[in-house]
Amino acid sequence: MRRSRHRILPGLLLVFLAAACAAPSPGTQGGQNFSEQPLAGTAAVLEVKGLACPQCATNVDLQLKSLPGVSDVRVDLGQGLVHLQLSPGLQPSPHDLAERIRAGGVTLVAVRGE
Amino acid sequence: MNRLGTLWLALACATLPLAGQEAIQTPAATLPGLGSVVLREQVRFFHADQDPTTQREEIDELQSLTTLTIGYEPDVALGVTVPLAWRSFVEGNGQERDQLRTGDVRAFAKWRFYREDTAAIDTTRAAMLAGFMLPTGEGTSLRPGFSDDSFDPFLGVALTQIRHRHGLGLAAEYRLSTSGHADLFEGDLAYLYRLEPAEFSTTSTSAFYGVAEVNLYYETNGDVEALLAPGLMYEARTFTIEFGIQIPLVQELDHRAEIDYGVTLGMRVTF
Repeated sequence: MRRSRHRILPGLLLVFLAAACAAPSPGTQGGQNFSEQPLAGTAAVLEVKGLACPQCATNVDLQLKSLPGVSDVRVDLGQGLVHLQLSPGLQPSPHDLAERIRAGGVTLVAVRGE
Repeated sequence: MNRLGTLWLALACATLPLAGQEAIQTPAATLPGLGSVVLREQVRFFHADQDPTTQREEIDELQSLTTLTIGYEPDVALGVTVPLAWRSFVEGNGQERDQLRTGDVRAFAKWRFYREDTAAIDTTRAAMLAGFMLPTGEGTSLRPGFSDDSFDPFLGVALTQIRHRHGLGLAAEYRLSTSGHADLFEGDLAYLYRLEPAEFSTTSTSAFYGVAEVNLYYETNGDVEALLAPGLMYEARTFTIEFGIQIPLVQELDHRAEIDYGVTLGMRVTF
């Protein structure tokens, strides 16, 4: 009995690692619905869901600031909005933004240019 | 265990539909962003009047748990926890002693397999936890699983739900001892209530939470322990400060000392 349990848990760990590597991430599909055309203006507002807490907002902030063309990020926890300042000529696409938002652990609902 | 297990499951099921943020003792289905790093330092103090298994008395134990977690993929994080403990006690012969010991290093992966974001703040997430305890520790502890002198695999699950000001965390983990010691099951239930602000505004950068947790430990040698852990948490954009106490609800322990109380002070920083 003891020996069989010694095999079961390491086996489950292997299944866990395989599944974690192979499975599509939750929210992956959302990013595929956004345009790959770069945004036109120098500012944009992202509507997001699942910000959850101040530190979660930082996850989003760090992801977007590392994206070329994003010069400033301000996360509005109250409204679930992310205000971006964009560098002319380097504007990212909504698809790029969706990917970074997903990497920050929240869901992008809409992108509005300003 | 049957009574406690039933109580824990009933509590979990009753509160699931409500179902935040990572509580103080309860693992959450939250991860650092891709490439981000979270450093968490917790200092825990425990006191026990006596340990019948070692004949020691007036045992004070100060633990340091340093955890580094890295966002490896959007929904996968890798982490390591390094425990250290300082103990002071009176031996059976009346001699006072103290010792500094390392615990078993915990290497883990967390995979968030479910995420449903329903509003600006509201979300439901689930994650699996898996990893190994490395045989780096030595000595006994007031807490279970501190040192087992073997590579012990563990597997667990964490559920996190946030609805407006309410957050619920539920976690279960099973650790297999490969050295012939007792296996350890840990079940945790956490409720968080955002005290301030009642509503996030466009300028909100921090929040203050009240936390209530129940932490259940069951070892296959028959030891059972349930602790009530109220606390407070202050969360800013890049750091969190947490303070909580642990009060025994049930202690049926034959293989380690019964603690009188525990105090936890911690901090998390996101890079």
